[in-house]
Amino acid sequence: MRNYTVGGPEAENAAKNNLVEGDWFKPVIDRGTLKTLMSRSNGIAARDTALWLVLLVGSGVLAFRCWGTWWAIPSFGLYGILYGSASDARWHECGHRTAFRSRRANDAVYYLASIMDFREPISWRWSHARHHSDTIIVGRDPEIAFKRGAPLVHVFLEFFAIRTVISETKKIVMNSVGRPVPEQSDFQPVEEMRGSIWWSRFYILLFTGVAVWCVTVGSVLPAMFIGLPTFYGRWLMVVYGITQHAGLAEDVLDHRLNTRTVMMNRINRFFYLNMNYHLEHHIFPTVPYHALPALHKAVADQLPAPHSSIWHAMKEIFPTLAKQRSDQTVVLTRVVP
Amino acid sequence: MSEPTWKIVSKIGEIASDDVACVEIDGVKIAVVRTTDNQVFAIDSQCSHGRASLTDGYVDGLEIECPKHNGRFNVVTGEAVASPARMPLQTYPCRITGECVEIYY
Ligand code: FES
Repeated sequence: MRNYTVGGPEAENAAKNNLVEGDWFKPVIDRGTLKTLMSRSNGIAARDTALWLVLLVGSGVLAFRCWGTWWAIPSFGLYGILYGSASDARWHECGHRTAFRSRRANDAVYYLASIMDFREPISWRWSHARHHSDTIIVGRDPEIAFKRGAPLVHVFLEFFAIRTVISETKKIVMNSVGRPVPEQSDFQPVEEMRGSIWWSRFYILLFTGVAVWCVTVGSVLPAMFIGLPTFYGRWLMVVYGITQHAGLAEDVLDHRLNTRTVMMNRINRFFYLNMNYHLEHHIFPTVPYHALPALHKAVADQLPAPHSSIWHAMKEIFPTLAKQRSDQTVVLTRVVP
Repeated sequence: MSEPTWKIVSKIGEIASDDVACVEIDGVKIAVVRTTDNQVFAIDSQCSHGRASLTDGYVDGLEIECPKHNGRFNVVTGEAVASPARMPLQTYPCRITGECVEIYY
């Protein structure tokens, strides 16, 4: 299996092959059209955020009332998806600061969603910037979620955030005492560590507080609302996330070869905030989520055909991941116009 | 290096309102931003964070957003106002004279 360590031996190869901060393919688009698509507003994101929070609180109240009955299962199921999966797209869009026009609103939602996703917000901002510079460049990209040759059980465990939470906990504990983990130092400037230290301490305080609360009341109920949904509500985020890059090319400077666009229905696009247009997002990260369908239309003739559904994408992803277990040269290819 | 002077870099009509255009002086690429109230500002085009040209970015009032990681700069002062941009950029005096945009460079 290749060494995916950020800053590891593959990073040197990437540099030698001019894959670091490379010149990525860009489709041709009229500047006026792009400018319109990049326009920011607060209204759409405020509506979508309000709906998300109302559903989150509503399902939470329902789950609280149903605690001890079978109805608690679907109620927590919905609450978990809103907390542990839908938060990921909010984290992502507000991390780019494109969801709202207001920087404060973007940051407020970003920090809230970071807690829900159990991500220390400062280091993840830098990790995500690197993911955009060097998308699926081995040794450079810290966000390669589905590595070639990795046991499929890792994918299964990811549906419940097990491996992610273990590595994030390690990072948070190390950061709380002022020590970055080795990979973090590769993409996060040392001057930005201070923020990571304080956020890590806050996370330890928060989740220890929830644990103490559970012990005090003799019930797991508080953790069912804060903390545990990151595990039991994560699965939908992984369903969406696996469609982004899994099985596609590594070490290329063309997002058309390593990123997928998958058509999804309105409900999924609400949970996922249009990140199903992932290829378009990678090429033009300044376009806010609500303009991605229009961007998709504007450049569709220059991109590979999108997948017609999540199922359609899964049908190529899982067999490829299975084949890559024994042969890591297996890769999904794309016909580019 | 020669003494700075006002240099004509563009016609004002070539820069859309609330947008940015790229000009070049002595091999240095400069982003010229024209605001909705018809002011012009000049700032280095190369982002201080990574390999990206701000002339492909997004103008929002007196800020310009980098097309690569959404870092932002104040076009008046050059200050980096949103991460991952951290280091400021050089700005240059810029004015409209008649139909022309001039930069003091
Ligand atoms: S290259 Fe401009 S913000 Fe990263």
